[in-house]
Amino acid sequence: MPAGVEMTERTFRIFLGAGLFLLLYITAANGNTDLILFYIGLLVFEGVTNWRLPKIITRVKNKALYNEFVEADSQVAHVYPLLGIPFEAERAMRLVVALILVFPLFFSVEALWIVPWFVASMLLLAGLTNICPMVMFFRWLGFR
Amino acid sequence: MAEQKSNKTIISDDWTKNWQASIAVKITAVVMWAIIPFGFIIALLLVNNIKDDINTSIDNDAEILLNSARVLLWENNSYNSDKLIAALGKNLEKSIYCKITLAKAGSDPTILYANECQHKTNVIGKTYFFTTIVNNQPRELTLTLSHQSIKKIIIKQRSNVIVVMIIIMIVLGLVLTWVIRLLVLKPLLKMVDATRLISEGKHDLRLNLNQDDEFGHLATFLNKMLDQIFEQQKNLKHANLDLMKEVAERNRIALELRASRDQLEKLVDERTADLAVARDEALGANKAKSLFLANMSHEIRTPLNSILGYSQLLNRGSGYTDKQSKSLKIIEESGNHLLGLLNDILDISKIEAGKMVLNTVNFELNELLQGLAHIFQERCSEKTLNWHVNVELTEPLVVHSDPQKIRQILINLLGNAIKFTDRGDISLNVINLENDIYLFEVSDTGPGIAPEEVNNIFNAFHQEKTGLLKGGTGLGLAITKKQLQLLNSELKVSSTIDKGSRFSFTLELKTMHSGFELRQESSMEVVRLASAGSIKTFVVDDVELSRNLLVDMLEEIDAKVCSAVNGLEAIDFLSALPSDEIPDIIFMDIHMPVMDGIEAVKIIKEKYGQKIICVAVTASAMEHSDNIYFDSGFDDYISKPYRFEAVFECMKNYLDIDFEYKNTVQSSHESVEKTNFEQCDIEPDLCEKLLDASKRYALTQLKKLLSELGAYGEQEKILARELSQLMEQYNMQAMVELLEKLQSKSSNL
Repeated sequence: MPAGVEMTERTFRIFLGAGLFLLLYITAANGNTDLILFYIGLLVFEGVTNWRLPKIITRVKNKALYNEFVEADSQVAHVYPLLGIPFEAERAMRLVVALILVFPLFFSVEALWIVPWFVASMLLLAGLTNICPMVMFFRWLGFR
Repeated sequence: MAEQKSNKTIISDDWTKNWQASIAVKITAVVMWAIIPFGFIIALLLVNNIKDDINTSIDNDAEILLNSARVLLWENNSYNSDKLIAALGKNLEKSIYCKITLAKAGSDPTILYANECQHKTNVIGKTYFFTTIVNNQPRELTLTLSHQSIKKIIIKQRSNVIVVMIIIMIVLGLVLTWVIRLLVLKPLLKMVDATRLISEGKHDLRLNLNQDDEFGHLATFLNKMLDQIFEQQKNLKHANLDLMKEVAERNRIALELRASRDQLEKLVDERTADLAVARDEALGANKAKSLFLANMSHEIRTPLNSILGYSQLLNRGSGYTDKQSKSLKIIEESGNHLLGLLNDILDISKIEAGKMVLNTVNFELNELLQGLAHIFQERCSEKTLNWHVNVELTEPLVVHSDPQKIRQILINLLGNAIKFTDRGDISLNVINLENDIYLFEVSDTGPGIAPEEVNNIFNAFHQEKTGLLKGGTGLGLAITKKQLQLLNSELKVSSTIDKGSRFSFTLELKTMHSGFELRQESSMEVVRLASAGSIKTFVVDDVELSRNLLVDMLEEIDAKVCSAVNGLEAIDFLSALPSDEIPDIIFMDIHMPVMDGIEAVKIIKEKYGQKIICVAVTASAMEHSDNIYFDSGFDDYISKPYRFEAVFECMKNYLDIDFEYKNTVQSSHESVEKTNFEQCDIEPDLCEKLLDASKRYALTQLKKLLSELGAYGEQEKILARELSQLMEQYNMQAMVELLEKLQSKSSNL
């Protein structure tokens, strides 16, 4: 596999985490929430359509790798068929993250200010360690 | 999943998908996932009081500014001088305020400080009133302080804290991870790589971890284990090599064995063929032996029949001298001895052929034992041995078994006892152990049998040293043992050298209480037919001597006798006879020239049926089954040599005839009764001893006592002779009665 071609979910999670950190910092500095909304929109789009950036980039750059990508996703379902849900865990993770970010932004609950920061750090950490507890939990439940 | 590359082991770290990850990933995950929440907790603690701090800071800054403005105005005496504005601006650089305006009552405010932040939204202004002295006059002044909203400030500060904390924690986590990896992962990977290389065949490789910790110990023990394993492997290789050598050797041996086996099989085939030939030869030889035995038996029995028969005929006569009587007795005894030997040989031949069978009938056991006692009392007397009989049986005792075999067994045992005993006692004990179980015991005071010889005495033709000296065939005990086995019994021997031997066996003899036919063996001697010439007999035998013997014997009892030399002549003779002259009974030999007995009797029986009784008289004792005679039409058969009594009994059984008898027992008894012994003066002690010996069947002692009695006088001599006759007839009851009478007479006197 040629170096630099691969855009894995791990890499994407690093980008997502670091990006959210940046956006939160900018938002805190100037109070503009447009970028955050765009970020949430991206997550919702990916979650709803399953057109995830890592998949799209991989498909565009390396179709064989994309097939492995899809194959790996389908195999996971056979490993943990607790509920047998025909829905990718990565998509579910994106939707849940979007939901978590929406709450503090639109419901102005002072106590929840830390949540977006926590989500950002978790995403970053998941990217760095290649361990995403939420995805693992969804896989355990039976998501693909 | 482990993958192996050139010299490093790579382990998949895609934990999210398959829950498997390298130790490195796990360490990183654990450290980072532990430290980040920790960082958040610290950040939360830090930002918790940020709002109060900001409010306090605003108030403090306002206080400082007011005091500074008051002092500066008093010092400068002007509230809008450049110096004042520069001094206040300097104080505001570090404050959170973005705009300050100073105003005196009734005049326009003077902007002391403003930055770009003043144009943002959510800017809040606060006006403070204070009094100061300017140009030595008190003046009322207002100070307006503007700053961003507190919320904005808080958000910004929280962001700063969080970002800083996250960065610190990530850096700290990475450092910690790196340290842990260095401490744990590095030696671990070293071990993994080393073990992988060892597993790939680099057996000389050892782990080189110069650490005094668990990894170091693990490496040391692993090295030791590897040393042991490779040492064992080396030993195994040697053992394997040895084993292969042994296998090769065994293969070689197996090949040799196979070759030997083939050769052996070839030899076996050859030997089998030889054995088959030998077996055929042996079978032929055995057949020849059987034929020889049959022929010899026939050839010996025929003259023996004449010898014993004429002895019997002569014994029926009287008027012989003592020497003649003795000679006759010797002839008869020799003939009987010869017959005994012949019968032994035939018996062992029957046993070998498995043809010996039981011939069970009802018989009186006491009578059998008395007969034996009578025979052996005489033989003991001849050798001056003490003869004791102890028979504890009820009388009469009719049992069901094979009397011939029991008699033969006891004759063999008692005969041996007498043969091997030169002095002392011979005893026959018969005890009823329980119900129908009887113990037979023969004991002697002979030389005894050596322990090592005890098991050999039952082998046919075996004789120990004493036996060789005494003579005999060595068949007696072998036959006895086999006969007892047929009777479901076993012969037991106990013997002590120079003290004697004891042979015993038990028999189950079923007592017959009623509904049986007792085979009466008359002890009375036949003198003649009750009605002379009442029966017509016909003797058919090719051997003149045998024919004449039977003719003479039948003539002796006044029967009408005619004879023929073969079957054909007999048939012709019968055909020529008128119907009223047809014989009542035919005694026919089996083996005859021209026409044998079997063929002849078939024709006779076909023509005359039961009008003529046909009795086979044969010397062919080897024909083990009697059925062939009965199947041919014979009514009965008699074996040569025969006792006259057997012929008379046969006649009595099939013909309605009576005999005149010479009843010796009765006549003796009568003579005893007729004799007057009142004159006898017998001593009470002697009488007591005689009575006691009679009751105990102590025949030898009786004989001595009777000799003693005869010495007392003429009357006593007659009494002794009479008692001797009774003793010889084994009539102990008559003896006891007579002696008791004499005893009572003696006591009355």
